[in-house]
Amino acid sequence: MLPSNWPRWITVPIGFALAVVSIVFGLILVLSVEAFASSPEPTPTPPRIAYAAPLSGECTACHTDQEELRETSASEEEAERMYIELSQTESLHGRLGCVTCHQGTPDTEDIDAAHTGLVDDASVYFQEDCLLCHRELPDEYADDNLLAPHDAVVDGSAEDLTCGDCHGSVGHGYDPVTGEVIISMAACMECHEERDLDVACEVCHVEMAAWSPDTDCALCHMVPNVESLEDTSLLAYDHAQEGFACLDCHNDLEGLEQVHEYAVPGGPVSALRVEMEFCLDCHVANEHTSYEQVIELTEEYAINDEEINPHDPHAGLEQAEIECRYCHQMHKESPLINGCYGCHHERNFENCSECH
Amino acid sequence: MQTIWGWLPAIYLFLGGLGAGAFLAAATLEFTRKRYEIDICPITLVGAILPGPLVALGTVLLIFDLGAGLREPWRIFYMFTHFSSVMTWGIWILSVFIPLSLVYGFLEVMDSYPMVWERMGKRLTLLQRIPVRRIKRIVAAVGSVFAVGTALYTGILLSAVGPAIPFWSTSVLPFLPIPMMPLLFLVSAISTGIGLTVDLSGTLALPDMQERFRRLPLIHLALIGIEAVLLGLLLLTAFVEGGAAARAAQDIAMGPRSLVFWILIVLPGFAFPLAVHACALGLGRHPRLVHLGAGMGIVVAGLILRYVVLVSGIPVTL
Repeated sequence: MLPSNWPRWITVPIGFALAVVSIVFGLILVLSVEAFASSPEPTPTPPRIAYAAPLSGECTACHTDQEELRETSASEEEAERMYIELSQTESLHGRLGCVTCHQGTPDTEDIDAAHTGLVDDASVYFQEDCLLCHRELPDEYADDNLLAPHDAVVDGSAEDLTCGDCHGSVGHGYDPVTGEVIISMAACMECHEERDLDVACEVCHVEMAAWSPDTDCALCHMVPNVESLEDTSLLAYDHAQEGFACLDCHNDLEGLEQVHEYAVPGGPVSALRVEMEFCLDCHVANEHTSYEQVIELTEEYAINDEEINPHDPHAGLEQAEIECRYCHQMHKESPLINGCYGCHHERNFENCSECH
Repeated sequence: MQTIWGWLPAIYLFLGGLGAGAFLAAATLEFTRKRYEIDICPITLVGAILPGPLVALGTVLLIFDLGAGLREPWRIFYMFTHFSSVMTWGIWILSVFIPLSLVYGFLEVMDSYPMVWERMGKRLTLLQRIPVRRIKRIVAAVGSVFAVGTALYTGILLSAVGPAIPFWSTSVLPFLPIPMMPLLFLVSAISTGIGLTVDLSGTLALPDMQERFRRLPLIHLALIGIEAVLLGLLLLTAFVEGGAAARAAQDIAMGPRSLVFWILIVLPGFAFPLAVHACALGLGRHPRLVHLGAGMGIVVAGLILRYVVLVSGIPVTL
């Protein structure tokens, strides 16, 4: 096609020209065809935000260093409160940089200057910044049968309520994309109680389905029961760590169905009273051993220098049988030896007839 | 219309893919020794010399597009050590590929025009001892790895935008969590690279092009077939995924972008070259002007494909 007397290297500038021509040609073609096509709906483009991660290095360096914070804080408690895990700066919002939300003076080692103009909760002062990205906030989550007062917060009619009141931890570990951490219902309840608002279930939970074994117990029993599964000081935590779920202990499904049929929001909840055999199913080595094995475990236990086996307290006496739950509680603090003092109110273990 | 992702990113993603594809086309002729069937091969000349400038130009446009990169260009150097970011992979790939392409182009010129080599050699006798073809082969081999990396990276860059714009991170199949964009852009890069080097430059400069490359229609048919399947799967998976991804796919296939998609991508980039190369496979040859048209169609459709993918990306509603 090219004249035979043209040098072959001429294809290089021609090739480059063709690449450029393709771009210009493509541009003209698209613009021409788009002129005949219906206009696409304007694509909502996330606005540019004042990305300040590179200017937040000094904040991160200090607030992730416990030693540094102890040296510069007024008290140990304040240092503890100001400390943030380094991993929190890698969360979706954390990557925006501290200064993006908390303002202050960026990129300075001077502590006083750095904290000048600092805001604790950005959503109090710059709520519109949250709304830049979070545009379509629903008032009802149909899948979860849950109400959330987003409209009222945005239009200001929810008195004093800001985004940060519910989503305050968003920059510090809470990941709204994976949903690994959800807002605790305890936070909703606490806030409602503080503001003297209605705490009935139906205020937030709409069209609650009938109870079934698949129902999330946390919907109604978050406080204190489900919450206790995360309290390391309670036995419920140890059981949860072993992989036990609510229905492993609360396993009378027929009974549960009955009580839930007539349950009312805020109504009383009866505690489960398990028999000793239920605990022994797991806590003794096998079916051939028995409570005797438990007694052996605390054979040398002493209270006030007196050898008293708490698992065999009334040995040799014909007393009423004891149950594990008298001393060991699941969802609240266990009374342990204090359970004995209900009867032994003088805090000695003499027979009743010694005094009475 | 998108204001952030529009023509400029489409052009630099296209230039990246075109350069990488052209390099791979030239390297293939190098490995198969087809390049040495003639003294001066216009295909390898274009495929070795142009990738460096094309990808470098694309990189300049990319830096121009990065607001901070333009205002404070030294910040780009911080990106070399930020290994958790895909941008760092890209900056390393480009930093190796561009110099390698320039070296490959230099060696191809030296091999094609030995008198230039000799003139330089008189001044620098050391250069005369360099085994040009052996080094060129090594550069082509290493450069091919980085060319594939560059072509894949143009798609990885988009898919990494991840949850923000679901259409760009659409997976190959709903149950196969491998992002589609890198694969689609790799195949498209090879197609456009062959389009520029073989279909356009080769057809223009080599009178016996079709006789020399009898398997070319088959290669084209395979590439068009693979690209069509990938593009179809992209739209299908996006539909299945639902939400913002499905809305983007609907815009492309049936909505306001459909006219551009069917008339400027499917027709010149798929249907016309498919018909041309299918006929060529059956008849043995076809008019050179038609071949040129098919090549131009593939290259231009490659650019418009990237543009449509970019402007159709709809951010997820938070």
